[in-house]
This record gives sequence, structure tokens and C-alpha cells, in this order.
Amino acid sequence: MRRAQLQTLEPVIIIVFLGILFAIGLIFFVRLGGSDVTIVNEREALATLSAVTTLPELSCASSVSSDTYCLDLYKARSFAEMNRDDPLYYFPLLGAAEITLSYVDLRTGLQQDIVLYDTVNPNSTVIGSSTFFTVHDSVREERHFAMLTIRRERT
Amino acid sequence: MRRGQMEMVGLVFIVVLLIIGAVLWIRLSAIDTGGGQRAQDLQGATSFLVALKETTLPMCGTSFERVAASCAAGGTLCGDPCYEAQTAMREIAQTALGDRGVRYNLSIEQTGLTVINGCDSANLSVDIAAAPRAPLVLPSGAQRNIVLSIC
Repeated sequence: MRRAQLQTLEPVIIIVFLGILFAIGLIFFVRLGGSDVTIVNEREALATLSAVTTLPELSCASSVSSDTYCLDLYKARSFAEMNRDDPLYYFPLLGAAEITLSYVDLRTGLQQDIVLYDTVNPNSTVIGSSTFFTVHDSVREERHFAMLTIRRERT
Repeated sequence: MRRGQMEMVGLVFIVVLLIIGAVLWIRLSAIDTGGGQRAQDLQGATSFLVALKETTLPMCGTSFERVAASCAAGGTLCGDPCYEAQTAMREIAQTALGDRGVRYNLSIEQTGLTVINGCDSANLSVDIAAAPRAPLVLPSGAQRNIVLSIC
């Protein structure tokens, strides 16, 4: 190529190169920005899960050993009843959420649900997360397979 | 403006349009969440297995872990431990996973105990070799794994 032709192409090459760099930067910016809200919502759900499973009002007695989270069944029933009477008592800790304890009663083969806490606006959009653990029946000295589901209002 | 300068402005304009088009295409197209979904499946499967092991089988008065270990060792705990373990696996997996639309493959190695719900080896979200597993320690000290794969 002649020198003059190269000189003519030089600004074109620079513009294209800068354009590619700019596009790469925008791509990274867009990808990171789009996932922020989802990550925040998931972290809030996990934080709520952690708060609930470590509440003394719900957790198993210290004499009950467990490799996973352990909630006491009768404490959970009392907790649910208390929150029905005063739903805003735990609002500063748990926020706007619906927390449901579901456990499998192998005697009947049926699933039992206990709504522990519910302050979600029925018209709002919610996202959920859940985890598996055991719920301890201290009367029968049995552990039921259980799941805790947390549904939070989408921010 | 000279003709060459006008052409340069036009070229810059085209490049900017291409960049905007590329960004919009990337932003609007589905972002691959396969990796995130697989991580979530793994975390759920792991907690499922730990909880399953600790669950009490009311007909046996002891944990699933002990009953399954007896089955794997050819024992006679609770009469027919293999039947009790299989029944518990089926009921728990169906209630906790199947009724929520999750397809799964739950099994205990070298025992023949398997519960499958629409999850064949071709559709696993994680390979069987990499699926979450919880150890089952037999009375002899040997170990079998409880494996849960989510499709």
C-alpha cells in the first residue's frame, strides 16, 4: 500500500479501534448493571432466611444436635399465632415478607404448612427463595423433613 | 467542511450506531443464567440431602440415615429397611420437589434404591459424577453416597 493510502486510512483505523474499546466497556457496564437488582434481592432473601433460622423463638433446644438448621415445631406454631395477633412486631427484623414452614408428615404422607410471618402486600410482586432442613417435634421426639420458603416484595 | 471531513463524520456516525445496536442486542437478549441456576440447584440439592438423612421415619423410630445404612449393609433394622427407606425417599422427594415441578433423580449407591421423576441422564443439570451427594456410613465403616440430581 502506498504511504499516502496508509495515511488516509489511519484515522479510520483509530476510529474503529476506539469504537471497539468503547463497545467492550459498554458491554461490561451493561452486564454488571443488569444483575445488580437480582443479586440484591437474593441477598436479602438469604439474610432473612438466616435471621429466621437462628431466632431463639424458633430454633431447636441446644440439646438437639443437627447438621442443618433445626426449628422446633411447637415454637413455630406459637410464633405463627403470635404474628397473626401482632404482624408488625418482627417487621424491623424481617421486613415485608411471607415466611412459610412446610413439613412432610410421614405418618400421613401429607405436607403441613405453617405461615410463620406474612406482611406482604397482596398486590406486590414477590420473589422467593427456600431451603430444606428439619423441624423437631419435641413431644414425639421426631424430626420431620421441612422446607422454609421466604417470599419478599421485589424492590 | 471539506469532503474528506464529511466522510469522516459519516464514518464516526456509523460506528456509533453499530455500537448502540450491539449494546441493545446484548441487553435485550437472554443472558445466560445457566451457571447461576446450576449453583442454585446444587445448594438446594445439598441441603435436601442433609435434611433427608436427619429425618425420622416414624414407623422405625429412628433416622433415615440409620435405616438406609441398614439397607445398604443388608441389615434388618425396622423389618425391611430397604422398603422403608425407598418409601420415605419417594414421599419426601415427591412432596418437596415433584409437587413443585422439579425433575430429579434420587438414589443411594449400590443399593438399588432409586426415585426418578422425569430426570434421565441426558437432561441432568449437573452430571451424575458431579451431583451433590451425602455420605452414608455403614456399620462396617464402608461408605455409600446418597445422590440427588436435579434436571
